[in-house]
Amino acid sequence: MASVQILLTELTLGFSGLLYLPLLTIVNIIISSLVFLYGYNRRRTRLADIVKHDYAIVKSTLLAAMDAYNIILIALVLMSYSWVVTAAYFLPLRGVDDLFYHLPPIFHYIQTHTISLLPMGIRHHFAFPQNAELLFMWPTIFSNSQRMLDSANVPFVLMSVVVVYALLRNFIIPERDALFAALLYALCPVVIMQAGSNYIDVMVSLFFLISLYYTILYFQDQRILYACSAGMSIGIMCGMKYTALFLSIPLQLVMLWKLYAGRRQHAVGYFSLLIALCCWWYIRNAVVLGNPIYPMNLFVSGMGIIRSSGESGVFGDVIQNIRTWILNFPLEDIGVGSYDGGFGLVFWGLGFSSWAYLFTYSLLHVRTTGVTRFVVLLQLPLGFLMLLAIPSKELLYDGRLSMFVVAIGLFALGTILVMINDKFYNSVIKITCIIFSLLTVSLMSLSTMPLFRLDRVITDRKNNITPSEYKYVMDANAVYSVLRHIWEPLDFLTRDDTYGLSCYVAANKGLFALAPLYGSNLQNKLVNIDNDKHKPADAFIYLYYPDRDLFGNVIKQDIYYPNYKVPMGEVLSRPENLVITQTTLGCLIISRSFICETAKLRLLRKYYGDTWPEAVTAARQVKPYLRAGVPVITSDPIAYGLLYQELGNGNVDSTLLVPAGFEEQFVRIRHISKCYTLESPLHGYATDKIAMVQLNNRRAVAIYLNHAN
Amino acid sequence: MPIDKPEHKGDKVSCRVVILTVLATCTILHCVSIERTYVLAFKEMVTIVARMLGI
Repeated sequence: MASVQILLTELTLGFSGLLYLPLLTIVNIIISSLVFLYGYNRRRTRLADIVKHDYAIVKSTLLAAMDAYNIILIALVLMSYSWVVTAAYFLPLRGVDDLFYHLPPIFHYIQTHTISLLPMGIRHHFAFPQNAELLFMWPTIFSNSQRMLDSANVPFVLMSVVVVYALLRNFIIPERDALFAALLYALCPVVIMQAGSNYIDVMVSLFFLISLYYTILYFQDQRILYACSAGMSIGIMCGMKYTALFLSIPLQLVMLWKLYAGRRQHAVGYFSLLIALCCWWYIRNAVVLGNPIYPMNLFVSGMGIIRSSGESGVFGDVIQNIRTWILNFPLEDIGVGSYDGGFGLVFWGLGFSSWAYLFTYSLLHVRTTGVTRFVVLLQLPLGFLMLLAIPSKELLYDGRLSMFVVAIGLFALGTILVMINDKFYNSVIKITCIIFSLLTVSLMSLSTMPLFRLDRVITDRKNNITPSEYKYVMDANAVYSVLRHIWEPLDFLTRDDTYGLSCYVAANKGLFALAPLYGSNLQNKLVNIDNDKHKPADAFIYLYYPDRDLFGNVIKQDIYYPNYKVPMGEVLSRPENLVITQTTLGCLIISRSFICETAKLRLLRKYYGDTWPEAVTAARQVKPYLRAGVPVITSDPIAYGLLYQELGNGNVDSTLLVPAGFEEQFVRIRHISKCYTLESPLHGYATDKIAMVQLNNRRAVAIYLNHAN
Repeated sequence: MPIDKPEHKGDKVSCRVVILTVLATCTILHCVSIERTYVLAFKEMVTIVARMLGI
């Protein structure tokens, strides 16, 4: 219910251009108050008695469910999710899909107060339904910060445990076995890994399980509450991912079966809530893009939304995968140790085998099994069918799409524990599950997807160093360890400002991670994202892969310019712009008027000194050879050391950092007649080699004085 | 609807034997194929805990 209220208020205000925090707060307080008053007026007993009664039920249930095994699992869950939450506090956003297309839209909506479509040229994923992203937006719009956003999935994991427990209890599984199986869901590898990121698969699986639960309840007992709850959960799920439409088909068939014979108001409630919670995205895509499920296409491999090099459609992928997948997937647990996949030792060892036994047993005892148990058990092969539809090369990244099969396997395990009905064997199984769960938690120590390591943070805190959190993405992967030099200074220089920088961004599509550019306090704006009107920018971010040499041919990597083009050469030609950092994957350029404030110079100097201490040392050896009044033009990291020395005097012009390979172009467009360069002279200039300096790290650097002819 | 529990001794034994055999076979097969992943992770976890405790 809370999710429904959040989604509908955000959607209504967002599509109306009125997504302001005070208005959102007031609307939700009014709605919550009305709902409370409605329930209060309809009560048949005193409110205090209702609360006492509910408390007594929860307390007695918990006491009945507690045993040594569950206490150990609860301790493991608390330990691992405390680690997740601690990492979310100290580390920055550090996933892949969340940085590229789950989070940038919600940051944009918060800043523009409108839900709109981001440029399709950056990512076609911006057209996907965004109910999950709007649920991430709820805490973000209140905090106006990226901190802790990576822990937004944790409450949904805990809710998933409750739903799995409820599902098992519905089939009269004893409290202890039900809680044991439910807690194991929170200790599944892909669930833990996703809990520390802003991927949406945890939420999709949660609402799928809720949909399954209420579908079962409605099948067993046709009450309007169950019909409306099923409608709400299926609607929310279908508004999260296109693939949820297909996942919901079996559940909807079951609902239709009972709704057809039931009361009309049940059908009205079910369909109106389902449509209200998901239709907006499909209507928008149909009107704006001409395809309600843009860019999905079932007749191409990968459904048009997953990378594929094949030409066959979805059915072709299924046929191809059946040959290899069935033998490999259960044994390899593809994607384990990352947020992309990994169902874990408990699922593949015990859960899946329990399901296989239970499903076979149920087929042999059809009359006693019941339709509802079959409906639950059938969700596992349906989940696997979805994985079969994924091109085999992409399975490493997409096993998470069927995360809910773990819950079905655990449902089967809980049932098996009852069937075995022996204390010793049940103890053996439970102890095995606990050992496997402990091993699963240990995966967090090696994980880089996402990163959970806190050693650098602890070291920095001990030394009273508080850099931008984006420093710590250096341990995530090789690309982020380079992009860190763009994200970190951009955030470090602006995080204490109410209004940060207006940034223009252009990038190769594979590097278009927009989320970090907004800054840890959402202080920066991206001016060329929402429309094609030219807006003034204080900062320019260009991200590109290096040109490749292929048998003597230079393969240039295309940069995409959203909405309007501002080439890097044009920006560099203006003396009011300074290159702050340059990397093999791009550069950060900021306007002089922002940087030349005393406080900003101090921050920038500190950033250079903390990040490149060896360059500071090298610069001390190079400096004596340089004359005042002649600028150094270089892309060499020694520039950071030279800048560190000069910024102390407020001097930003003695050393001009340029992107690698741009030295000659820069000198020409700035009409510089005399300059120093490091490592290599300028072509077309008269050059004197001033010195060859032997640095402490055994590297020798040549200094050239270049005169225009 | 509650699942059937084995009623007779014969049912009990054969049911349990089958269940446990299936579970054990799948568990051993999967663990053997993926043990390296978890062994490495567990060693790293132990190292981290030891470092935190100053050992």
